[in-house]
Amino acid sequence: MKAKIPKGSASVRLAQNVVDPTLEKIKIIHKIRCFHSSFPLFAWSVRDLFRYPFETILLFLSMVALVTILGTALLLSQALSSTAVLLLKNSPSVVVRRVNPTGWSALPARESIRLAISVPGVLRAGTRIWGTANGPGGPLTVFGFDESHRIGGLTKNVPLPKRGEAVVGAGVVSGETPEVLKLTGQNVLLLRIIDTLEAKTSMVAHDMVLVHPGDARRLFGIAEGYASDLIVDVFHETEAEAILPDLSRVFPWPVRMITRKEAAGIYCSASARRSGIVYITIIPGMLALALMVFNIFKGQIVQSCNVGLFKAFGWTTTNIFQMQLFKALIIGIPAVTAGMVVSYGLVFRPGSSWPGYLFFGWNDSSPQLFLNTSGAVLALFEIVVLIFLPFLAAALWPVLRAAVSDPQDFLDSK
Amino acid sequence: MDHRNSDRLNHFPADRLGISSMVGILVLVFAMTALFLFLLDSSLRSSSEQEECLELVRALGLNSLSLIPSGRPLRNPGTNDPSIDLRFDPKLGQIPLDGADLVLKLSD
Repeated sequence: MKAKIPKGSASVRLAQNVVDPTLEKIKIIHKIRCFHSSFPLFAWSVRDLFRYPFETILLFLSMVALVTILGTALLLSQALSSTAVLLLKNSPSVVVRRVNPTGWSALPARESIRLAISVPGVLRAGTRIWGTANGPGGPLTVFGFDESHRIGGLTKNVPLPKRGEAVVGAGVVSGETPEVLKLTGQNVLLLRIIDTLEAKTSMVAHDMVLVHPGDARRLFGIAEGYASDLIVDVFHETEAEAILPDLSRVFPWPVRMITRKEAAGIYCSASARRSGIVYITIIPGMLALALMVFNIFKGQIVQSCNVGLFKAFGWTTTNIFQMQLFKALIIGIPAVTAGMVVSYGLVFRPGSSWPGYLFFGWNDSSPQLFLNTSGAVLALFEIVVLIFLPFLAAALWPVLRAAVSDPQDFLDSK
Repeated sequence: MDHRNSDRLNHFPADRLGISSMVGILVLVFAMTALFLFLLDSSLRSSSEQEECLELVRALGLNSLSLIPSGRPLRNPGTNDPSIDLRFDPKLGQIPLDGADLVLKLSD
């Protein structure tokens, strides 16, 4: 029902920015009447869904399953990308490695720092002593850790390993892990485990071993005064790529460099590639759902003479369309919500480790992921576009055609 | 027959409209609440658990995450040029790298 305002009335002649109380009151009354007129239609829609409980439950569950699978893939991809960017924002601007025909080789620490600092734009330069060594359960990343690394909260949490000692990541220790850790690189090391890093650090240190720098040198066959690679910090992110030619020129040996942006980009593309496989498999599922919804609602309309009866009783085309819209929303909104809640719980549950098993090749102990939630809203929007809108279109299309038909045709068909 | 008809009339769908509307409203309210909580959680959730990771990345100068096991190419992005072997790779660690074994001897 629409409230008509007589032409030429005072309220029409009022300036646009003046609020007319009478007009406002009419508008509010109109809105209340609209709500009241839609409410019985809403109740009737719910009752109509109860008439087909099997189809209703089937549609709901199918949609929940589809939203869960797609939502999990989308959220995981978004979360991994944003977490990688977030965590690596504190990483060095550029990592420089010395290479030779046999591989990457150790570089002289002091000389490398001096040469790097001489490049305009470089704020800080430092060296790292690290590498990959064979542990009891597979390859491990071993880092030389000394007093210079103890910054911030690490001072309290991580003890400083002495010669022959090691602090290990949460993934290195297990129920049967002995106190002594055997590492094999260029040389063999036997280390006593003195502490374990908290599970919260799994995202970066799950299979990491922190040892005395002297032990790390011995393990990887790096001579005193040499380091595995060089880390460089610049003032601004964009400067990192700009100084790469200067950096490569300043060293008297061939180098290979990677910027922070490139490192983060590799993780983002890796997660997107893995989630992309899910998108491909979900397309037939989406089409199947749309077809199922179309057939169920079309079947309900064609097999019954409801539309004909409703129109014979005086229902308008809008009323019939509204009822179908309510039916679609009553199934669709809870299904999308339930699917999103399930996928959100799967991905963002603190310490979830299943993506490691499924996507990244972990076998025994997968790292506990603590993911960033920014981007979840974007994933929700994508799900609405990819699943909810096709669902709504498939649900409304049959009734659009039926609602404009002659009611006599439906009554005759019965 | 009349008795049956009266039974049917008593169970005409319209008599359950009140319950139906309540069920519908409850379902939608529940869904909206869950959606609101989802948005609230995703916007307000703090990344306090990532603080220690950030400190470790900063302290060690890490440029890789533990998403992928050690030794895999993606673990240390950019280090694995196909034309270059990893000197510190554990598999290569057991191979003498002085190249003496690669030189053909007269007896061969």
